[in-house]
Formats: sequence, C-alpha cells, structure tokens
Amino acid sequence: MSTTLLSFSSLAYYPTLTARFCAEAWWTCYSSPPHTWRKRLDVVLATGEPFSVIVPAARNFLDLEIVSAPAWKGIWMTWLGIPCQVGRVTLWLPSHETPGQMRSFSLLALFPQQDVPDTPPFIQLGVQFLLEYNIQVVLNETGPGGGKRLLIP
Amino acid sequence: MKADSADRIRDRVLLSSEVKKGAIMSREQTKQTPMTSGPIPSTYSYLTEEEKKMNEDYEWCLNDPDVRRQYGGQVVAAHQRRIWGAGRDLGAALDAALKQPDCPPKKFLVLVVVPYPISLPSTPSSSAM
Repeated sequence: MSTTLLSFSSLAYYPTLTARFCAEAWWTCYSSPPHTWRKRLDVVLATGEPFSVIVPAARNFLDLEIVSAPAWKGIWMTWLGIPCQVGRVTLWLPSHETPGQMRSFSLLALFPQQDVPDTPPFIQLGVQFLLEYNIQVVLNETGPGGGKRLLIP
Repeated sequence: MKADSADRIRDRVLLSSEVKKGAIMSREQTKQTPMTSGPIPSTYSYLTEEEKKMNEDYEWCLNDPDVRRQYGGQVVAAHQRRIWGAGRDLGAALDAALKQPDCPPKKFLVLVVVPYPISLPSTPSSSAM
C-alpha cells in the first residue's frame, strides 16, 4: 500500500469535470531515444472523465514514451469531439510513506489529436486508472495534506 | 461515442488491465516489445540528482510568493529559479520561453501551473495581545 497526497487546485475557470485536486506526477520521457528519463508534470484528478487524457501540448513537451494498447486497437475514441489515439505511458507517483520514493504505473490514456481551447493545462487522471489499480480516493478526512489522498494497494 | 460501442469499450477497460505492453506507437513503430499478460508490477525508485534539481524548480514555481503573485493562474516555463516564459496554457508558456534568445533547451525546462496567491487572514497585532 502506498499513499499519494492530493492538493486542492485554485484554478476554477475550466469547464471540465474534475474534482480540482492535483497530485505530483512524473513521466517516463525520451531524453535522446532510446534513452529515457523522468520529467514532472502534475495531474488533476478528473472524476468525470472515464479515461485519462494527455493533451498534445503535454505530450509534445514531455516527449513521452508511449506503448500501444492492443486491446484498444480499432476502437474509435474521442474526447470533447476530438479523435484520440489510445496508448500507455509510465506514470510515477510519490509515496507519502517513503519521502522521495516514486512508484511506477502503466497508465492507459487518450491522446487527442489536437488541443482544445480552455481545457485545463493538466494531464487528467480518469476513473479507469482508479479502477485498474483498485485505488481509493479519500477526500473527506483530516490529516496530513488535509487528508486528501490516493490509497494505492 | 456511439452507444453500440459502449459495451465493447467497457469490456476492454477490464481487459486492458491484463494486457499492458505491445508495439511502440508513433515514431518507434518498428520496435516491438513482447506482449505480457497480467498486471505489470510497480517498480520503485528515488529521484536522481538531476530530477531533484528539476523538482526544486517545480516547487519554487508552486510556492514562491512572488511567482504566485505575478503568475498565479498561468502556466510558466522555468529553469534554475528563473521564469523564461508564461502563458495561459502549456503550449503558450513553452512557446514564449523558447523565443527567448538564451533559453535552455526544452528538456531542461519545467512547465508549472502556478496557483493563485494565498490571501492570509490578518493576524492580531502584538499590542492587542
């Protein structure tokens, strides 16, 4: 079990279905292919999104290492009307129990083919990720960081 | 999304947790990685020294009062405690930074969504205590 703390985002002007809670997140990216390293770009917990979404600006900035998701081949996916590719990337979340330690996850994500104006400048962490890893979301308890956290078995 | 594909997608959400690796997408299309079944176990590691420096820049952008006052609500591109560009979204901030003549390469920049400044409630003065 590991715990990743969530922090409240003061950014409220985006018309998307997020819980407005953010988490520190790191990503496996190409440095000079085939070599990879990690870069940080935080995520917002998007409880209204079935799938995690990585917009083109984030994908281009990070130069993500993307692995195909064979089970999704031939499935036509869209996000806000924009056609998407489906793939997996490696997400690293910090472990609150062991400061400085990161834990990796294979994250299924949608990659919209173009940016959509006025959408959050975050990678959105959708419900599929929570289901796949049996993650509990705790938002209503007091404790470190306000008690808002992801409990990951 | 069409209704008739909803069931297929739901099934594949479950299936996808069992099939995690396949061919590399995009520019690495010729490279194949083996298919695996069952969940990929998590790995654990600590940040490298280079990643720690990047993290310091990131945390500085999130927490520095001056940065928050000046750039709250925007995305900034930063490196070594210097803001190289800012904008409403990731692309705008990165573009603004890369237009600067001495801007470091993209790989060394961090892009941070800067929170609005916190307005603290006024504290009672010492004379009132």
